Amino acid sequence: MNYSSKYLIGLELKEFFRSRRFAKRIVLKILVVFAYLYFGLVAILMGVVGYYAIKEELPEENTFLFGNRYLLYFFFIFFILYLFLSPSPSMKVRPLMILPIKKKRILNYFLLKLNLNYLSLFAFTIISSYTVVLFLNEKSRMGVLLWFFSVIAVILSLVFIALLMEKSYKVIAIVVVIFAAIFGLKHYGILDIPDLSGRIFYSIYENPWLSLVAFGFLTLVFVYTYKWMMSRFYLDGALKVKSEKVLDIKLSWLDRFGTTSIFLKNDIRMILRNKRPRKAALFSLYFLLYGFWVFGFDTNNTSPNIFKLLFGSMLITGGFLFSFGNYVPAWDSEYIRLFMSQNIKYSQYLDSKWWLMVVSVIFLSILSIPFIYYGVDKYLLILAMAVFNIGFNSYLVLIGGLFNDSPIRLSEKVKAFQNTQGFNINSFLLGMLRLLLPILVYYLAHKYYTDNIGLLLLVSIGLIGVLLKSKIMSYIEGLYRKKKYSLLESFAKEE
Amino acid sequence: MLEINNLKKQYGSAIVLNIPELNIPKGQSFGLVGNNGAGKTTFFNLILDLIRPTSGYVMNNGVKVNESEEWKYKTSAYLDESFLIGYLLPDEYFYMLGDLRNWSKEKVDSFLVDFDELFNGEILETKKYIRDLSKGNQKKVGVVGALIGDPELILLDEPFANLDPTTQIRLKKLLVKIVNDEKKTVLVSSHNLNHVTDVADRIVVLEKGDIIKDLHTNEQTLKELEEVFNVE
Repeated sequence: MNYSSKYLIGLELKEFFRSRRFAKRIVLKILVVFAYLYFGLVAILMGVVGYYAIKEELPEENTFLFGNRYLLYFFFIFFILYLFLSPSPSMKVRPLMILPIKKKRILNYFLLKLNLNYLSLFAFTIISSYTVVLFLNEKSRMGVLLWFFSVIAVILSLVFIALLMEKSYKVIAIVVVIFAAIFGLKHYGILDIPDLSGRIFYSIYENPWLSLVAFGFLTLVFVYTYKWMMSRFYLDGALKVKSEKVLDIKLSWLDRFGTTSIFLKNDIRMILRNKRPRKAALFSLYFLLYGFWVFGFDTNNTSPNIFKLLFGSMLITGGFLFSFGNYVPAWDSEYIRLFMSQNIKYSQYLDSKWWLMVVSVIFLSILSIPFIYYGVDKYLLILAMAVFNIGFNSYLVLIGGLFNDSPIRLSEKVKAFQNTQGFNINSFLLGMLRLLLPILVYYLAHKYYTDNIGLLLLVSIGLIGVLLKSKIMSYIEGLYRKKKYSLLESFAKEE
Repeated sequence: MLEINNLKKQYGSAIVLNIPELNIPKGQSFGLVGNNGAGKTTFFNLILDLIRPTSGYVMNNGVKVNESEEWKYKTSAYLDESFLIGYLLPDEYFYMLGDLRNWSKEKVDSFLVDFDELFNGEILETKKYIRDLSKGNQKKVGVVGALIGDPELILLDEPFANLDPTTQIRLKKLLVKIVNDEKKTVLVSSHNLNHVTDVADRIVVLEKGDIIKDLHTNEQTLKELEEVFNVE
């Protein structure tokens, strides 16, 4: 550790401890630490139990060889998860560029940090605990050790490849071709992946010198990544923030909705053209898939879990409502001062947001028609929840959004475990209320009366909410008016 | 147009702005100069009701800005990039402002024709989001956006910064024109004393929140201002 590395780490620590709302978020940070501990424990168990489970279930097999058969799948899942979650922390390189720190040092630090992400650490932990068990059970300790380092080398290489994929289309093309080739060969039965996987990695154990291939591969990938980054260590090179292609769609058909349409058009453009809101919108589709998972399980299972059913059927149509609505004024935080100094009425602004959420619920209800396959009663439950979402949860979400006073940088990617922007105990409680209330209402009816009364109650609450819309909205408007200055102030601050 | 009455903004014990009285009549072009921290942006934020005054009030066209929102129909502003919407195309941004100020698309289009020269072919129909424009071009979009919809009062914070010399001269001419021909009230802040004296009929110097000079522009003004800021 030399002076400049210490300096770099010091900067990172300061960034963490001096970030705004650090104190506010400390509770959440602690929760995150617990999550890390939990997943760490899970990883260790996976490694240990994995080995003994194979041994127990398949005593006639060579346990180590059998485990190796699935190693390629392990790498594949790791790689796909890595690409989707992009868990590696970002680093602010720009201000370091003209300081007297060698480029080499910055780059090395950057590449090291890339591998210290939760996903890699999770994978390392599984492999390490598995290795410990191997150590106790397998004969050749040398073989186990080199096998371990080879596996780690592959994981490291995958992370570097993922980095290159983010920056270069050529690498994406190569990776896609390789995957396509493997799947093609597998599809036509030419390639037996478990067999291949088992053979490759077991032979490393048997002939430890083969691990040189894995080390060689890592060295190759690392040197290539290093050189590639080094030669592009300029603002217009690898550090460039890519500007997106313009997505221009005609929205003039919305004009018939009057002033509400001004904001509706704006919101649709915002969702389509920015990373963060796009992700929030996509999230609603995940919830739809979650529904298929819940109901799908239910038909195979003999005893349907009522809570899971209720939870699922609410989230199916409410996905967008929750993921978008909860950040309602915050989505516009970048230009809130413009909005506040224009002749914009809060009521119009809120109305457009409300309509957007209502349209999303209706749209998702239509998308969920296939759920009829699991029974008409199931679909009726989904529809009742949709009405509840429209007439009750939509308002709660708008109120909850007011408590999220952290600005949202629209074009920044969100990362799992880092999405702590705007966490607030009030909005958390409101969130619990809108999840638990409909479940409780239905459950009580289900338990003491009949399911139909439950449906009726949900629909009635929803309809009453819709009928009282103007009253409720003017109440919410009042809340917005009160919070105006404090929102403006906190939105103006950088994270 | 604007009446300031005992306006004071205080953060803790630090007074960042203190204006006992100031009247800006309709049709005046008003320049605001002062070093960093003099309170220029605070003053603009108070006029726009974006921050709450510690005491006193701003009257815009006869209404207190923190009590009624009626002033918003006649007022527009471009203070910084937070008045732009990064993911819109410049055209869409102008149409949106037009929508908000009851201007049809056609009216916005015919209004924008006059700015062809200023835009230099780099803004309209370029298929670039505002966030991807250069700082100078962003400023052009913001300033022109603030002129849409016939506002009577226009607030511009540092409108000349980041602009190229040609555009600076064009913008100065434009501002002089809208004050003289269209009788609009324009408030401009700047660090550049030359620009302010060229544009404004009246120049107020702020220092640490206080008005230390209130000048009507004439041949001597530039010299006088230079003396104020010339600290040996």
